[in-house]
Amino acid sequence: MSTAPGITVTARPGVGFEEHHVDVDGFRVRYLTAGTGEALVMLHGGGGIEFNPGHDLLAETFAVTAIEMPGFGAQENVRTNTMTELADLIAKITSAIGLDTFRLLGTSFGGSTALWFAIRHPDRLTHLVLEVPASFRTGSPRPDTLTPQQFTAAFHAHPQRKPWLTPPDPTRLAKNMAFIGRVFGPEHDPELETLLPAVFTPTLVLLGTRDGLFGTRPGKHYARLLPQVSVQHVYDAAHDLSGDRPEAFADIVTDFLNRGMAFRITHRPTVLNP
Amino acid sequence: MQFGLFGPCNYSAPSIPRGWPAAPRHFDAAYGRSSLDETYELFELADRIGYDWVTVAEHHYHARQLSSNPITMAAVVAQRVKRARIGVLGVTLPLHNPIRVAEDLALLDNMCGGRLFVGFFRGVPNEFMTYGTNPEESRERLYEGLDLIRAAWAEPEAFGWEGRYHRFRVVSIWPQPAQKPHPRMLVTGTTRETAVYAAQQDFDIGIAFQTAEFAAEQARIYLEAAHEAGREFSGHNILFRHFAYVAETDEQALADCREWNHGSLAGVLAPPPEKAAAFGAAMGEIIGTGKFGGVANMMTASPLPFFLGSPDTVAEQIAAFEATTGIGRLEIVTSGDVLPHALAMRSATLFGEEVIPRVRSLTASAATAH
Repeated sequence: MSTAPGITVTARPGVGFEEHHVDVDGFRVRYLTAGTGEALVMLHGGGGIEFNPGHDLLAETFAVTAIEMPGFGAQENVRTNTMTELADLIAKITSAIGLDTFRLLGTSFGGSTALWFAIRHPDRLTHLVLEVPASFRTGSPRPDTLTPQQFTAAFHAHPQRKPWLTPPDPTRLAKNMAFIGRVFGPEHDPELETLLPAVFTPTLVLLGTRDGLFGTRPGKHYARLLPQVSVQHVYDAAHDLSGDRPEAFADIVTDFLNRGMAFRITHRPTVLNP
Repeated sequence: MQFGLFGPCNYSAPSIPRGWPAAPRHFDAAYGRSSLDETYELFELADRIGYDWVTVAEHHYHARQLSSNPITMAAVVAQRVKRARIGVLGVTLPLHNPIRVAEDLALLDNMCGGRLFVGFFRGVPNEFMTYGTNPEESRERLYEGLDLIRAAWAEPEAFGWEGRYHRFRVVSIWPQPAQKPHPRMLVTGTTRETAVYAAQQDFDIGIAFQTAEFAAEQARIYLEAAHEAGREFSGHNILFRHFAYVAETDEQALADCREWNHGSLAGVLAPPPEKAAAFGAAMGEIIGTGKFGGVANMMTASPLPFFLGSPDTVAEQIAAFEATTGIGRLEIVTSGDVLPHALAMRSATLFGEEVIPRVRSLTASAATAH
């Protein structure tokens, strides 16, 4: 089934992922894996794990591990109180899973978590991808303050192209936002500003040109603060960037993860015929 | 009402090939040079006598128009036109690399001291053949290109672009435009969809070679959509372009236009008889692939200038047009490839010196009466 030219539509993205659990620090942590290749760890956004075709495409190239952070899903978390603690908890979880060094992809709130992970555990990372990261979010609306219509417009550029979507669950969102609100820290964190210039992990920041939460406004902060960064605008993508442009998302992430900052140089042939 | 002069950069020579594309063998550099000089002279006149802006456009492989690159043309014009604003109306964006366009326009805005405003158009159907542009992709390429250019003019740091049609891993254009945040942008507003899109995107609209009734309806749609989007736009966000011709008397104006076939858009693309079938088939193929709403109206428009007559007559026509449409920017075409340059200069002079002050006085008294 296809609703628009060039758009991959899968009715049930993520069905290829296999569910596992691991016990860490008294949490029973759920995680899902798919694919083979180099290790790619994914940290989800404020809605919890929500697969889209972009994730399926990444699993065609990488051994993807999607971790459900304690505090989301069924696992309560009243002990983690800061982003530093959350990053350290992710370090323990990945170690327990058996992942030593890996590529890390964080989405929205997970992007901020990934950034703190890069600050706390730089030796564990080869590459960092921040999809619509939620740091430097001054002036952006909180998702739980939006009407359903505003929520859809902020998150989805073309909801009609995404048959896998389910309506946001206000109870789950409220629970997640309560956890996020406790650990998140200020909208514009001066401590983060002082720490980022020492993060030398090659970093790709993806921003959606139609992101109704952050827009492309935060890009300048990452561009100024991170020593090895490429900020990329993904056209016609809202806050659910990888769901709005799954092929473009997988394409650029794969290229970056395979080639690092050299991904900025193209080797795409332009010869029509010899 | 504000007024602009559109100079099509006509190629005037004793023998001008008909049809599209023009066979290169017909080009004569001596006439090319004299034609450019006439264009410069027209623009300098407009600048001197009070037109608010002058405009150049983009057309390709076209025997009657020399402005294949309007940005190059505008760069020269900007050195000669000291006061008036410079309109590039417009860039046929789907044909081009948007980053190169953003760079060149930013440089141009610096060259002219921030007097630039710019239109971005989808393209005249036949010109999709120029660089191998797929007409079916042209609207989407236009929209993506506009977003990209605006980002390239507004982002304070280097960024990359992962588009549907364009991929640039590093964008960081220098110089940036002189105007902040950037030169005012315009798109055509000749369909409901484009008028609404323009309003939502904070673009001005241009309407060319259409009837007053059509323009009024598009203006209404655009202003309504702008209001809904929280923007209080006015007639000054809408530019209307059409032929005008002014002579001392109505009779003289009409006689000149009949003699020189001035004011007809249909003649511009008319192919020679032996090529008519092939050209018609190609145009049909292109137009059939998308909704090119404005084209049909333009080709069937009256063969006489929209505004025609003595200064009094034309001033009344324009005041009536403004009252009907609410449009606040009028751009006239008063030169042509066959119309003698001296007549174009006279018409442009009468328009600037006689018509513009009359219109302003008519609309001022109308405003007082209300």
